[in-house]
Order: sequence, then C-alpha cells, then structure tokens
Amino acid sequence: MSNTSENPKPSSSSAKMTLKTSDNELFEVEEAVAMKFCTVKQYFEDEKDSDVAARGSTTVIPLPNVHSAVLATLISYGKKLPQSNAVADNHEEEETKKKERKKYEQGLLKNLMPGELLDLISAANYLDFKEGLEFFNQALADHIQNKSVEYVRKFFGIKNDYEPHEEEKYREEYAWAFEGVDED
Amino acid sequence: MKFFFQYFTSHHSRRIRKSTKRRRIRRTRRRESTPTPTPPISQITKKPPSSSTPCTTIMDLPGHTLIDILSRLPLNSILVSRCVCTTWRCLISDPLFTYFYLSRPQQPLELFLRSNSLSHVTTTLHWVDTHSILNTPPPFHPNHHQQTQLNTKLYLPLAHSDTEGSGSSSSFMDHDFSIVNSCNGILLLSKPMLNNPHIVCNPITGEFITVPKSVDDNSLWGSVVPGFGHCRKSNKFKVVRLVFRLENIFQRMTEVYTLGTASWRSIGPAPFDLDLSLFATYLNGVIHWLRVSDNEKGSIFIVGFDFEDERFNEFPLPPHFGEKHKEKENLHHLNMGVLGDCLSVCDCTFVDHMDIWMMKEYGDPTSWTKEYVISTHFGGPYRPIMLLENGDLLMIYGKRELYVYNPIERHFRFLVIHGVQSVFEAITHVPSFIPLKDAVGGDHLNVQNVKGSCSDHGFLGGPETLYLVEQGEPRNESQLPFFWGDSGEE
Repeated sequence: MSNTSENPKPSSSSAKMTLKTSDNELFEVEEAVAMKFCTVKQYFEDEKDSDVAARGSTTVIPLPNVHSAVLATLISYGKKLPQSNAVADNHEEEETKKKERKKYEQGLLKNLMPGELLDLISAANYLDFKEGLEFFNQALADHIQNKSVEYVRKFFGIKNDYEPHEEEKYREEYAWAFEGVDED
Repeated sequence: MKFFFQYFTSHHSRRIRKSTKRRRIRRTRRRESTPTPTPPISQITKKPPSSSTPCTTIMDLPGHTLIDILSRLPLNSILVSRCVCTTWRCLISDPLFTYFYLSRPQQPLELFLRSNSLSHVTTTLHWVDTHSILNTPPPFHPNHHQQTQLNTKLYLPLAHSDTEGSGSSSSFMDHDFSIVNSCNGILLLSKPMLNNPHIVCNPITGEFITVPKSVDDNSLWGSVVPGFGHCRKSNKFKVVRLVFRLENIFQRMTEVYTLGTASWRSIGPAPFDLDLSLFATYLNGVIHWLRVSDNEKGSIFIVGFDFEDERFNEFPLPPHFGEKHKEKENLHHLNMGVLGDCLSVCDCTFVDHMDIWMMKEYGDPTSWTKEYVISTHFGGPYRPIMLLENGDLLMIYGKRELYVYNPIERHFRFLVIHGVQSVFEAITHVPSFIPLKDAVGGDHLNVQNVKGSCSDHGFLGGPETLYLVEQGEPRNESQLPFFWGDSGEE
C-alpha cells in the first residue's frame, strides 16, 4: 500500500492498518496516524521488506503490551497532531487547528486519572510515539512540579528507602528548595 | 543506558524495607477546597472491570523515561525529587539527566541582589522571587506598604580559602570580589581594584575553582578587563582578560584561559582599547562591552569577543543613540544588558524620557528596535535588568530601587531595597545544580566548596537580611522618579 500523498484530507485517506491490543481488540487506524508510532512503522516496513502479499488493511499488527483503552487515547491524540502527508494549511487554518488541539489537550488531561497517565507514558514509550511521549511526560512533570517530597511519594506509592540522617543531609544541602512547596 | 538500569533494579530490590516506621510523616493537610482531588495512584481501585487497565507504577517506567520526566522540573523540584528515594537520586546524578536538563529550551533567569559598598564585605547573594512579587498584588493605598523578606541566600567564596593566599593579607579589600558576569549557571569573580579574574563559581552548589595565575602575572600593569563565556561547539568554558603588560603599556593584550587546562594563552594584541570594562554582557557565546571610541565624535560601539573563534568584532549602536553624552563621565547614563535573549541598550541621557533598544536579530544592526520609550521627570541611572514572565520590565534605579514597569498599563511598581547598607547590585543568573566538574570538564580542576568554610561568615560581621518594601499603589510613568521623602523609613 503506497503512502498516497495525493489525498489532501487525511480523514478520507484510504490507507488503513489494523492494530490488535493486549485484550484482543482490533483498531482500524489511518496509516498516517499509525506511522507516528515508530514501533508500528518499523513492523510495517519489515513486513514490506519480507515481501508479504497481503498488506495494509489485511495486516494485523499485534501490540501485546498495550491495552485497548490506552491505545484509544493515543490514537485520538495522534489524530489531532499535524499530519505529515497533509497539504500545508494556510496560516488561519493552522491557528484554528492549534487552538483546537490545545483545547483537546486540556480536556484530555483534566479527565485523566494519574494511573492512566502512567499507562499512557508506558505505552507511548513501547510504541515509540515521540509526540505522545513528549506531551504526557510534560503533563506528569507539570503535575509534580512544586510539590513536597511526601506528596510525590504518596502520589506514586514510592517507599522511602533513605536512612533518616541521609535524607536530612540532602534536605539541608539545599534547604531553600524545600520551602514553599505544596503539601497537597 | 545500561548504567542506570543497573542502579534502577539493584537499588530498588536491595533497599526496600518492610516497615515504614522510620518514615517521617509531616502533617498532610487535605484542602477541602480542591475541586478535583487526585487520589494517590497506589489507592486507585475504582475502575470498573470492563475498562480496567494494568496499572503501571512509576517504577515500571524505563529509567530514561523517568529521567526525561524529572529533567523537565524546575530546579527546586529536582532538588526535592532527589529526596524521594535513593533510586531517584541516582537517576538525577546520571549523566543522561544532565544531558536532558541542559537541553531544555528555557532555563529560567533569576534575580539576585548583593550589597555592594566598599566598607562592607559582601559574599551574600540574596535571591529575589520575582514570580511571587508578580503574584502579590501591590498596595492599593498610597500610604500602605508591604514588605517582603528575602530569605534565600547563597554565598560566594572568600579569598582566604584559596590555599596560596592564606595569611598574606588581612585587608578586607582582598576578600571582596566583583562579579564580572554570569554564564550558564556559573559566575566569574574578579579581584577588586585590579579586576584580575580570579574565581569561577557556582553559587547554588557552593563549588568554586581558582583560576591559575599566569607565570608572568607580576608584569601586569593597570587594570584588567575580564570576561567569561561558553563555547557551544566545543563545550568549553573560557575566561578572557585584556591586560597591559609592562613591556608595552600602550597596547592591550588579549589572554584566554580555558577551564580545565593548565595555563593562560596569549591571543595577541587587542584591537580595541577598553579603558573601563563597561557592562560586560554575555550572550550567544560572545562577551560584549560598551566602548567609546577616541575620535572627536566620541562615537559609541559594542565590542564583542567570540569565545569559540577567539576573535573580536564590533557592532554599531542604533542611530543617534547616546548622542547627548558629551564626555565619558556620562556613560553611566547609558547601559547595556540582555532582555529576553536580545542584546539591549538603554539611553538615559535625555531629560524627560529614556529609550530602551533591543537587537532583535543578534548580529544584525538593522534589527535594533526601540522597544520602550518611558517618560521620566529627569534622566538618571535607570538600568533595565530583565523581562519578567508576564512581560513586565524590571529595572534598578540608583542602586537601591527596583521598578517593575508594565508596558501595557504604562505604570510602575516601586520597591525599595532595605538592608544594613544602602548600595546594591542586581545580578541575573540561571541557577544550575550541575557540579562544576561535570559542567566544565578537563583535567586540571581543583574544585573547592564554600560550604566547608561557612563559619567564616561570622568574621564578616554576620549574615545580613534584605527586604523589599513596596509603598503605595503603582504609579504612572510621568511620576518617575519617586521620592521616598514621606515614608520616614530607612
């Protein structure tokens, strides 16, 4: 299946791929979006090289490490990104799309449970989805920004494995960094 | 990549203790007003089975992903994260973390104040939280004032902690350093009077390196013009100094010292004579000075020394800039700095206003843009310091007063610096916690730490505390400068 660049609107691109998740759900995804997942892209290109006759919509790419709910979110995020094979929009359209994307991103983060965020990061890492990883990593960093040590430990369920005097030493070394952080 | 994976797994399994009795639990206030409470991940059990996903924990993430996440945090959160658990501390110490951290696009610029009078030795940098100033509304009544104490202090090294110099001089003048300029989280300090570059330090970590003397330091004559910068391509830090030597007291020579090497190198004669090191400003791998040429017109230029090429170049200033200055004595009504990543010059020689120009495209003199024209009652020593995150311009006036100018409303907030002394300097600096030996590299490094000699601060008359006092509501620009007459405070 060739990467058709004739088609101006990605949503009506005819090239599709099927991805199969760990819970055996099938997702039909446009090739342009699926190619953002570099792991998928690599698999697809390997398939092409091995000269398999059946391609495109009949090839099912297995993703045993990704659950359907997570993949759904990643795909929908991928759709909102600028598509590489789309015809360049004029400035106004670009601005509108940017605003839409920002709104979508904010909505996405608001409804996200912290555990889901970690699942998304883990899946984006497995899929080698660079834009997704960038976005979700930043979202997690933004969440723990300016928070106290106790909050971070509690939030992630991390056990404190410091000796008390050791921890005290590190706290005192840069005491100013520990002032003014949020407990919650 | 294997390095931190080993730390990651071995530390994690070795150090997990069954009991958590030793964990200090501070009071956890649950704020009822939080609209969307975020329960800790460890307690999430509420997902319906049909959409339940395997819950990844933070420790399941690969090390490089966690490093990516942590490197996005602001400096104080990174230092907090080091205390979360030993695994996180190891990740933060990993060279990959340093790489990610330094590659982040925006390193935030911070403001520090330092008392700068000759009679008082000052090794203290007082950190000004500009973010919280912006978020605190100004007083709404002319007679109200609010005061902010500057709590966070960093300390610069003292001369007598240098191993060679101990006991040679007890004059307090020898202990005080001028700050030449800041570059990539590191400061260059030079000895007063001579201005000979002497110490490179990171005030956050407290580490410092003494710049070696050259073998013929005793043939130096007159004052030295120093500068400090970083070469992006070769990733080296260098100190430059323009000196006169007794062999030829009419020709400035250029000498460069690359940090991590053994000695100074002479580059050759300096093409310009800079009598005074005026407004040493570092930007884009180049150190800049404001220079007045000797010709009749007294035209002013910016001279730059490129650290990578080790060459000088010159930039013209905007047309008619500083034309009012007639003699060099008036040069303190002109100044130069960096605003928002652009080289910027300020002309306060006018009676009724000041002009602030920015070179929007670095290196292109046609891109000089008169960005601000601010009315004043009469000219004076206004010096722009930095652009704040909301677009306001922070300036210092007469070494004691800070102005926060809102260019849209065209009004000022006015904060007076209060301390034991009454003369201050403002320094902008990007705080960095990267250890000097990792930042600088090289073999000939003798890194010392000022924190080992903290007790010496008693010698200097005790630590000082500075306050910022804001009196009254913001005022329009035509009311500049403000006088402190009616407050009675000192």
